[in-house]
Amino acid sequence: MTRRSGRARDARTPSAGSEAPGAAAGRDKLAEKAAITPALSHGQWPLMVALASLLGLLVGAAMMVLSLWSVAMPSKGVTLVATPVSTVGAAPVAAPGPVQAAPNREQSTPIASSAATFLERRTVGDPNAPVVISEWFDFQCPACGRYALTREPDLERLYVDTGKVRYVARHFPFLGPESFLAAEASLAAAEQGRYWDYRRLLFQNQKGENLGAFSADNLRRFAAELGLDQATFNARLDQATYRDPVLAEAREAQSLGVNATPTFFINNRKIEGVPTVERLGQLIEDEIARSR
Amino acid sequence: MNATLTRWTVPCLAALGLGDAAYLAVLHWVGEPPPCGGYSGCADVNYSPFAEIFGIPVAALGTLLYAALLAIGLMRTRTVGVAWSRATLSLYGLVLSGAVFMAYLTAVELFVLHALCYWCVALATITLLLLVLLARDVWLVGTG
Repeated sequence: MTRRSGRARDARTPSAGSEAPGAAAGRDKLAEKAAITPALSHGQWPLMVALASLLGLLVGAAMMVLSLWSVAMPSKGVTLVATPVSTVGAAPVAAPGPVQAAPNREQSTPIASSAATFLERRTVGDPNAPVVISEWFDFQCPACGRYALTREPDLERLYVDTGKVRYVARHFPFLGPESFLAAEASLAAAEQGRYWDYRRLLFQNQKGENLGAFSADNLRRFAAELGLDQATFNARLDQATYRDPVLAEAREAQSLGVNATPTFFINNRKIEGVPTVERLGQLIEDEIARSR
Repeated sequence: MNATLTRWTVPCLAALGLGDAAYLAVLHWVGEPPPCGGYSGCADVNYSPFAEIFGIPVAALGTLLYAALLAIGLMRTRTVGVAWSRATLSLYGLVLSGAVFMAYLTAVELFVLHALCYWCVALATITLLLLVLLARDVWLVGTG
């Protein structure tokens, strides 16, 4: 005990100005020893270390469990706002590329509607708007979900509803089979005029990549939640009606140099990531000024 | 490593970790993705469902952890003997829990999200360094 006190005292002693060389290093060593010397019995310390380790591991593991539980919990407070669909004349251009559709599906069948109608169903805004924004996204991309749920409503209110912007949602499903299936399902919903509602519902139910959130069963359940004609919706999904159009759209994205989502084309100006509404507004106003 | 360095390395690393975690937490609340040099990984990670636990941003929990580490780490610089040992053990337990959770989050980034957030990797590295330093201190106390 006396030895420990002595060391502690040494550690607290302020340095003298006239020490011999090497004394400072010796004092450092003493201070370090004093600092690490336990006033606990040797039997107690390992026990306390074991307890601290156990507690640390348990708290860390509990946080992991809470995180997984939180992710697995279904989304709550779903509010859907119907969005009017207006027309757009642009047709998709297909280009070759390595994007592959989800495997193990039934043979696809050709869609009845024209390419123009195909895009009209997921376009909002005045057809004569001076600015056209194309958003390329993936349903499993968290940044796309964040953008769609937090910024898109403001963009729509400020720029689409005021006739400044015509907005087109474009699919670039590159994150795996569930991205592809979700895109196909969204087009089946678009056929019934509910593309934007369905898109929003999918984003509200994102749960990591290819973990089953957008399995065929869940996609059918979302359609039922929106009150879609289930027979038609299920038939489109089962027959892979929209597989080829989605594949063509993904290839078009590649041909345009899209390699991240979300990617926006504001007229011809390309931006990646999640821009603020203010930043988008600035770019929109720039384009409007340029068009005058 | 001399005594002064041992004592001050922990609060310095904790301050760095606090800055990183607080920055990520603020960006999460504001809704901005962390700057990532044109790579979308930071946004993908910070907007993923794993970035929150029942609505509480993980970065905010990290901020609390690092604030506690900084406070205890600074307190430890002024203590010796039993108080120093106890502070060291508290820091070690806290950092170990943080390191376990960080390892899980890094695995999620690599194997579930397939995206890396540089800010999160920096925080995981700081946590690992702290764990090594504090494990060393705990071992030194045990060996007298």
